[in-house]
This record gives sequence, C-alpha cells and structure tokens, in this order.
Amino acid sequence: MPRPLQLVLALLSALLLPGPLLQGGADSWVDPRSDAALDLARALDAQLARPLEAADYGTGAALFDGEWWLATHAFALVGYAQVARTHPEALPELREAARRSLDELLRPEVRAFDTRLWGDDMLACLHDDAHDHVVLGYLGLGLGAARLLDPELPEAGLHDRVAAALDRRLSGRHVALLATYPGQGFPVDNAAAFGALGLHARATGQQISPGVRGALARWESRYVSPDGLLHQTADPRTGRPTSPPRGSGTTLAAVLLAPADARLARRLATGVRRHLHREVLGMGGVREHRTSEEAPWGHLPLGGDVDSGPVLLGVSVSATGFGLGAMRVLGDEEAFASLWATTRLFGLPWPGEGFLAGGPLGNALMLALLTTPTAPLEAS
Amino acid sequence: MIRALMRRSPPVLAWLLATWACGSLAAARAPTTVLLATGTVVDPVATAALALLLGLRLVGWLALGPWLVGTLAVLWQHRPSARSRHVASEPPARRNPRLRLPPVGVGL
Repeated sequence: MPRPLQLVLALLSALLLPGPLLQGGADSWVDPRSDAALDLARALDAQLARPLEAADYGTGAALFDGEWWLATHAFALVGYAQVARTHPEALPELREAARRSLDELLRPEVRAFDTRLWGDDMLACLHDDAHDHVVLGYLGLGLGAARLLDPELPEAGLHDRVAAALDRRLSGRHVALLATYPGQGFPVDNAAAFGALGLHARATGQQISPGVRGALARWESRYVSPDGLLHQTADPRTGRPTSPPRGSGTTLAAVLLAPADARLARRLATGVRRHLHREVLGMGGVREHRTSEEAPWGHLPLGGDVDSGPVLLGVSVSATGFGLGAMRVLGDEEAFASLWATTRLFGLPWPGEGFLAGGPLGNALMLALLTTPTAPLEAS
Repeated sequence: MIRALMRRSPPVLAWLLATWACGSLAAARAPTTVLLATGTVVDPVATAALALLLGLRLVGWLALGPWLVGTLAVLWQHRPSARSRHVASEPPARRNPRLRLPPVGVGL
C-alpha cells in the first residue's frame, strides 16, 4: 500500500472510527435482554456496601456534599426499581440492595444539610407547611421506587405522609414553586417533587390529584420557555424566573417528571434535542446554554458551576449525562447512542466497578439515567 | 508476516498494561475517589490514576484506526500474491543466490 495512502487512511480512521465504535455499546442499554443494567446495579450496590459519609464527596462545600449524598441513594433506588422492570428474575437481590439504600437515605445525617438551612427536619414537620422543603421530593422518589420494588414496604406510611405533604404544598402554591432553601427556587427540584407524586400514584394505584395537575400546568407555563427548555432558577415568592433556561436543569427535569407527566417530560426532552444537543463525528453532547451570551462565562472555552459541572466549548458534563435519560424519555435511540459514546469515553467504565469517573453519585445517576423508561407517546 | 505483526505488538501490550494498572489503582481507591464532575481533588493518587487512564483511553481510541490501517498494510504487503510478484520482479542474480557465487572451478 503506498505510504501517502496509508497516512490518509490512518488520519481518516483516527477521526471517523472512534465515534461509531464507541456508540456500539449503546445497544446493551436498549436491549432489555442485556445484563448491562444489572451489572451496573450490582457494582453500585457493592460500592455502597461501605456506608458513605458527606466527607466522601469533598466538593468543598458542606451543602453540596450533603445534596450529593442524598442524591446518591435517591437515584440508586430509582435505578434499582427501573432495572427490576427488565430483570424481574433479579427482584430479590434488587430489593435487598434497595433496602440498604433506603436505610441510608432515611438517616437524619443524610438530610442534615437541609435541616441546617431550614432550621427543622423535613420529616419531622410533614404535618405543617411552614417550610417548603422541596428536597423532600428526592426522598419521595426514593421511597416510591422502594415501594414499587416491595409493595409491603414497612415505610409505606411514611411514603404516604411525604406524598400528602408534597401534594398539599404544591397544590396550594399559586406560583407552583416550592423553595429549595429559604428564598431560593429551583424549578428542577420541583420536578423531583412532581415525579415523586407520580411514583406514589403508581405505587398505590391512584391518580395524581387535580390540585397537583393544576400545579403542573402552572409550573409549565411559568418556568418552561417557549422552546421547551427549563429556567434554572426562579423567585419562589413571585414565581419570576431569575436565570435563563439551561441544559442541566432541563435534561434532569425531563427524567424526573416522566412518572408524573409524560407529555411534559417529552416536551422538555424535545427542547433539548432541538436546541442543545450537538454531535461531532459520532460523539454527542448537550450544551448548557442555548447561546454563549447566556452563559455567565461568556465565550470562554471552559466554564461551569456546580450544576453544570465543567463546560467545555459550551457542552456541559451534567447536561450530557442527564441527557442520556432525557433522550430515553423521548425514545430517541440515535441521540442516546451519540451521548453514550461520549459517556463511554469520558466516564471510564471499568469491569465490576461501573464508571470510575463519577464515584458513587456518578454510578447511581448512570444507573437511573441509563435505565430511564421511554415516556409513552400516547401521553403526548 | 508473523514477525512483522509481532513487531507492532509491544506498544499495544504496554498500553493494555498501563490501562489495567491505572484502572485497578483508581478502582481500588473508590469510593473516596475524585469526582471529576466538580474537578475537586479528594485523593491525589486516584486523581492521577484517573487522569492517566483517561489519557490512555483517548490515545487508545484515536490510535485504534491508524493501528488497524497499519496492520492491514502489513498484511497487504505480505499477501501471497505480493510475495510471488516481488520474487518475480527481482533480477535473476537475487532470485537465484547460486548465480552470485564466484565461478569456482571455471578454468581449472
């Protein structure tokens, strides 16, 4: 083979081959017969066998350490419940894994960050609505997932009380936004609360209440922009958005909302697909902002904050990861495969360990996102 | 051909070994490993192992195509028809070493 031809072929193959080859493993997350999800669930359970502490996260801020500790167990539970849908034969071991995660999730230390900011324990004041405690939604998601795995869950009563508190607070709020912390509103956290109510309805065979339906409609009209993207922050008193729509919040909200409102979840995921998803040589990514002008870091090639993770050339680590779930909500296998290729390269999957790059939270999120069910089309 | 292919294997073996070592080290230090999502370094050894592993994987994926092309080129050069053409195109002296021997005995 002539030398120049070899060089041209080598260059072309270096550019064109990795993307399609990395996309190859995407099938194992689409095919329900594949054991990839079960293997990841087992790796996560093994990783969580050593009880975590907030200090394990080392984000540099006690608040974020606490949030991630709670999110690890909440998303692990959601992931276990979703794996059980495709692997009913593994129900006993998934139930045991869920039991361990739920015990951790309900430890007062895990929600201590919220207690410190509000001044009271979210589970000790379920009967009154003096404080919003929207983080309760993530506990509700975990409880709901555990109850789907085990209908005889001993914490069923607690789950019902959590759902009743969220229902009451959301239904009664004209701006449809519960505060995450005093004076701070994040629409995506309210999506978790709506999703928790959807899971509760599913676990108990009930319907979402008309009050919550109304709150969902108000939430959509206030915080979802016309192009289908979700505002990242809003004033919980006035309901006025205080920052532009972002990829990390929209992608995560699409996943969280799906159990409560499949149509709205699909609308958010469609917005991401149309306006934020990018693909280069088979590798996909999700932008954090629609335009560089909207980003606080402007046109800098590198930026980001705790919500987005590092942002490289406009593409955000968090939005790309959450985008896996959002594209599954939409049933868009092509976009999912492109995001999977990026995740496979940068997430550093390792046999028996899940993904090395993200620690326990990364594995819990990946399990929940890579097994997110497609939202039914008829709901649209 | 086998020798030509074997000459190409040491870098691949070194890459596999380094990848395994970095991955095993990072995995052994989990879950108190670094969370790349924040860029916060919790465990410098695990961070270094992960960074090296990421670099190795990037290089591995980028080099995979050229490596395949190079391997195909080696196979192409050593294909049986190429060998016979190569031999046929050689001058008679190279094709038959005996012809290059000094004419021992001539004139005796």
